[in-house]
Amino acid sequence: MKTFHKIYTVHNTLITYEVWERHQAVGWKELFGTGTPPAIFDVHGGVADVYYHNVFQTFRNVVEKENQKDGRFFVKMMDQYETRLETIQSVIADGKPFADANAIKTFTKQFEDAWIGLDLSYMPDYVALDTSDERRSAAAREKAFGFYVGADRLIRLTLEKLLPDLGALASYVTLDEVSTNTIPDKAVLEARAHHYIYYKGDVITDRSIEDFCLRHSFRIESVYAPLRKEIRGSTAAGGKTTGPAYILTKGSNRNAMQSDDILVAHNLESSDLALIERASAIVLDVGTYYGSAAIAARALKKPCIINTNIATKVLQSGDTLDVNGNTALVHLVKAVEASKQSSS
Amino acid sequence: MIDIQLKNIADRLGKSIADIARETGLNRNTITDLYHNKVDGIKFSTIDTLCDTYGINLQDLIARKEFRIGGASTTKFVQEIRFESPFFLWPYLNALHSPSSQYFSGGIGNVYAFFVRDRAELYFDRNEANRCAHRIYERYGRNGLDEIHAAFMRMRDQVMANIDGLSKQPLAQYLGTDLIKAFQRLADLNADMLSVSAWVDVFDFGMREEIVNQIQKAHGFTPVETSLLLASGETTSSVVRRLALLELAKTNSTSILEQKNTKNFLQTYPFVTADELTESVRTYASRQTILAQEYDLLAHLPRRHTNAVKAVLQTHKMRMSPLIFFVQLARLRDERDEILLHVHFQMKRLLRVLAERFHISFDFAPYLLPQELLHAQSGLVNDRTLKYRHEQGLLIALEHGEYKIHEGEHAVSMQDDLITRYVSQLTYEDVS
Repeated sequence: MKTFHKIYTVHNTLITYEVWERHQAVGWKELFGTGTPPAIFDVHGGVADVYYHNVFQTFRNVVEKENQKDGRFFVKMMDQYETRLETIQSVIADGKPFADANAIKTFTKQFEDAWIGLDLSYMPDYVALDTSDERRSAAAREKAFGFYVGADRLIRLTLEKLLPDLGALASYVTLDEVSTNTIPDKAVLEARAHHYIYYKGDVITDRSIEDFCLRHSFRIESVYAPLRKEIRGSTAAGGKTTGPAYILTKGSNRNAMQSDDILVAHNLESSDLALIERASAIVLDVGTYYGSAAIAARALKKPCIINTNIATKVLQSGDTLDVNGNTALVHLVKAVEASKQSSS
Repeated sequence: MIDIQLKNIADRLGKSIADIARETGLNRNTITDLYHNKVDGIKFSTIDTLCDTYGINLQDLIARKEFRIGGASTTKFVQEIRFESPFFLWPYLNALHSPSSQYFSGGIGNVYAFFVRDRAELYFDRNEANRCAHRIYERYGRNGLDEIHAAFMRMRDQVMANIDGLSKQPLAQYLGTDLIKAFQRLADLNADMLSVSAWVDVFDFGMREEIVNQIQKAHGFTPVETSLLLASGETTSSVVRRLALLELAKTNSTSILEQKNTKNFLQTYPFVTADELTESVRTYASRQTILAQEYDLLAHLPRRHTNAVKAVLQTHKMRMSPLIFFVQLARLRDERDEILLHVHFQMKRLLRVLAERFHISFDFAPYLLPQELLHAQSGLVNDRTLKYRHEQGLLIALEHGEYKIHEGEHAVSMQDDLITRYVSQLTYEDVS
């Protein structure tokens, strides 16, 4: 089972996401023999949550290997990269949309190459290099400034010019569709404008991210997850219990909480007493010893741990937890399986 | 990168290059170059003329744009996610960065806040924050926080007096400048109050846990005893509010909203809506035992708490709790959070009127910064700017006692840098 972490949230055209995926999965593979594992783009109304599996480790491995092979690897790559970047920056500075679909295709190729260079400019963060190399990295990043946003804007403008009757929907066509002139129906594009998942070159519109993960047996977890084996807080009520966790967030369905779930929340108000009664234990991010949740927990003789700071970020609904009010520790007994993962 | 923002200003004021050249009397070619940002320098006299003519400040005209955050690349960042807007979070961030110099030697270090839509990502330098906490503990840990608490209470009373005055005023009839003045007065008092109370959160980045653990081990307290010793047993303002709520719940009447007590409650605590109040009262109505226990405990809180603490200390043969500093911390935080509810309610009320006056949509108005109100009045900051910030992002960087604002792609670029640094310091276990 693969575990994904959400790392970026951005608003771009579909073609930019394609470039994003290709430059690291295909482009890297051609250059260094190892591409990053494919990312999942979960896009609602054009805004994508980008989920990665092991991307930073892959990057670190690649650059360490290349650096061992050739001590001047970084400098060479930066030389290549900066010339590429200057070409693309001059196109962006002109700000004129391209004439036809072929021009977009050549531009995306340049875009991909420049992006690989930008990735590599982050190398000093991963491998110990000289100060001069660090300065070089900073200079390269300065040159790259705005190129990503600018390129995306240029693609958007061109699409809107080439496909005037689609309007804002034009930013939801793929590169293939533009270059072979097989623009899908408006209904298809509207569905994409609502929601799509971009994964390994496929645009999937008929599935939610939960379904998608279930089918591929993927797991999505918070980047804080490594911290969750043992969470420490302070005690508000003693006692011990084990059970599945229920995470209460802003939009979560309160009726979905089963009795004897362990209630994990940021903070609880006095109007949440019904949930406290149903829970077998309470874990809070904040809270005070004389807060209403703590008093109610003591009255109902349920373990209650407050001031954990990270509980709601780290835990997921369905995780089996062991809550010990006497030592103020929450142990993760068993993480939730992807097939049982519920959306909260 | 030095950026001349003449194009921005011209757009917002609705002026063309020709207009600017005519109105300032400057050479048209100069203006054209400045407009397109194709200059390598600018004469001081040109700056003077431009600023005088359009009533703008130097930092509106010339900005230093960055694409990366400063500081060493080994800086460890802590990320905190909140659902708040720049307008209300700004005073708090400012107070964390530069607290009152009378009571503290230095603040929390560099703070970065990235806002987009209704979400805020705060980045703090973890080592710097812990160093700040350590300094405060060195200075006040032994002698207690009475001095700071007294200063806080003085400022709190001033804020409360101001709010009492404001809540009786018909703000909708105010003139634009009077509104700004009224807001400024409240904002100044609020800033003063936060400058002695925002720092309590500095202990959240690991320092409190460390110190408390040391003390717990040294004296052999159990975790249950520790959390009792850490609790604030004072009747703070939030306890008073909860007691008032519980009293209402005790009357157990169906037509709760028509009672005089209820009206008093809603008047005293305007940030509690009638719906929330009825919801809470209804919840308690069916749980009489919990209601009775909570009321009993809160009504006799200081005495009950003191007795419980005494009992714990007696078993350990001690006369004073060694955790008293953190108790005072908890009390201060409690008082501060309660008063901030009042302040934010009044500020929102003022902002609503201000937004209407300045032709700004209220959805985007929270992306205004408090110090930009005069600009909003003159149209230099308008609906479009704020919408741009709201959709594309706004980054506030507080570095070395100064602040910088980055919008759109600059903000995103710097946020990208922050995320990369933050995520690359977490180590994942390979679960696959």
